[in-house]
Amino acid sequence: MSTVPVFARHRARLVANGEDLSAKAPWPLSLKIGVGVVGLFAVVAVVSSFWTPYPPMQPATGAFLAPPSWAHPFGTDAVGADIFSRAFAATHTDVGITVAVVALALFTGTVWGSLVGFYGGWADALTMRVLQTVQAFPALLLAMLVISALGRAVLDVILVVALIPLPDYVRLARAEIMTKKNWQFAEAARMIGRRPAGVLFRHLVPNSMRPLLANAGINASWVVATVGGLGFLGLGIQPGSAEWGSMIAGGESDIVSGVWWPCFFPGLAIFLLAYAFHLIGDALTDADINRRR
Amino acid sequence: MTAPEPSDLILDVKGYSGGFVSPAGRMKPVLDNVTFAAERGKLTALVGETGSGKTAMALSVLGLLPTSFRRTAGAIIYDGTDLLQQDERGLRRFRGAQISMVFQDARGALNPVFTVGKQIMDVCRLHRGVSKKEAARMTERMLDRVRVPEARRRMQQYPHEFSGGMAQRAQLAMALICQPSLLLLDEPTTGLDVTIQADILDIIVDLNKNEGMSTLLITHDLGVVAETCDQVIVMQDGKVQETGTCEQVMNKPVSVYARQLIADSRLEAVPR
Repeated sequence: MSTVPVFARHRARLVANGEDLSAKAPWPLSLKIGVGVVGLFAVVAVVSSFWTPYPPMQPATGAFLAPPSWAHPFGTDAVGADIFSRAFAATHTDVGITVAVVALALFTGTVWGSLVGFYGGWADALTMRVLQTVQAFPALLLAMLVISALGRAVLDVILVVALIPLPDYVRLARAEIMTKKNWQFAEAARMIGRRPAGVLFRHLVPNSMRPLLANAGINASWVVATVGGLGFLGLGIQPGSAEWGSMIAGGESDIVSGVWWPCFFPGLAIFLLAYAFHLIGDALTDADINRRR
Repeated sequence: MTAPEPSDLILDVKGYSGGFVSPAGRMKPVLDNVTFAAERGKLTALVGETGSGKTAMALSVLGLLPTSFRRTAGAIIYDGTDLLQQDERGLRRFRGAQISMVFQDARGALNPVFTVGKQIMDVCRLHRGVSKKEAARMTERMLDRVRVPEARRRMQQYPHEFSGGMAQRAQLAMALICQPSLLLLDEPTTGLDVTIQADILDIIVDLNKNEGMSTLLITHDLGVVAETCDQVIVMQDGKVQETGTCEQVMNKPVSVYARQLIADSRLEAVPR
């Protein structure tokens, strides 16, 4: 006897009445906007690797410090380079660094936190002491100190900026694993014959990702602002290269004479991208909190 | 009645004792000289009230108790092999493939972030190394076997979309997929509606009678025991109070505790 037609009609009725509990939750508007804007920046980042209206480092493409016009939508800077092209090109630098930093911190923090949360012992105690030490320093100051010491290659900047939010990821992963390792599904995973490492990485870690991803969203927002800030202070990647923060620094002295465009547009880019990431992080946090109810 | 041959025994527990050690180092005994045997192909019930140690006994068989549990004496022989001599790696070969367990809280025992189908496929891929497609087929067949309607659609669903009875069936499927020789069920029907209870028990009895699956059913419901089981072991406070066939224990209980238990259960035809 086939039960398929009966159930199919039943399901159709549930869907029609809006009672279909299997349906995925619709995205809130903030999440849609956030993802849309980040997506836009991602597209720009890719496109700008191949093409910009003018070569970003090319001086004297127009008048020096010319205000925005049709030829130069964002104006030109002190050496005559097109700000639009520079901001465009800076996108792949800044977005690239942000993605690298968040991915690195998320991955390292998850693995580290999961391992110490699961196995505990002296490694756990040592980890907590190390994290407390890192977190005791004011974030930006720590970044500045380490970069001044290490140098300004892109890799150094990525490593240092990833170090600062790392303790949060580690703590989150550790807390989630410690809570869930005594739950029955972990016991059932052992029952079927999984190795402890298998239980940890195949069962416990996937269950712990929600707060970690929410943190990643908010963290990305901070990273964008911080990388821009470091660039502004001259501590980011090589000064002179297209990077929003250093572009702002370049236009800083001209602001008093009413030349607002070299600072405004890179600043706007940082603001928009940071805000978009924050929206995503907020939406993920809300989803995480609602799930816990 | 002649005693069963050792080869007839799928699980032979001899004088097993143990307890939990608190962080301060004091030992709280949980099991005391537990001795019983489960015969191959039979449905054996492990009966007792809450706190009698029956769950601890079952978890001991698979070595799933937390590290604070210490064995103080005894042996657990499964099919001729002493499980307590096995290290963790040795035990893993038994778990899921030879001895499987079904837990009381079915939805709790299923991983919330994976679909039910994936979890069941996981088990057979872990032990048998079959391809994904083959595992999916086996899973669907097993879900049909445990009477989950619309098995293919249900495989794509998450545990929270399953009702209690359905989740218990899914767990049963997960336990059976690698065709174990011994099935342990820890209060599989507690907390379910009576009709669902009957359904699940039906499946368990069917497995035992028609496929000869050796089963150890842990329960505190004597009605279930009276209806379904061949052998009964009664536990109280970590000790075995009585063992025997179902007829013996239910109709002519020897120990005071068993007598009291049966009387309190208000089963028919038991003199007070």
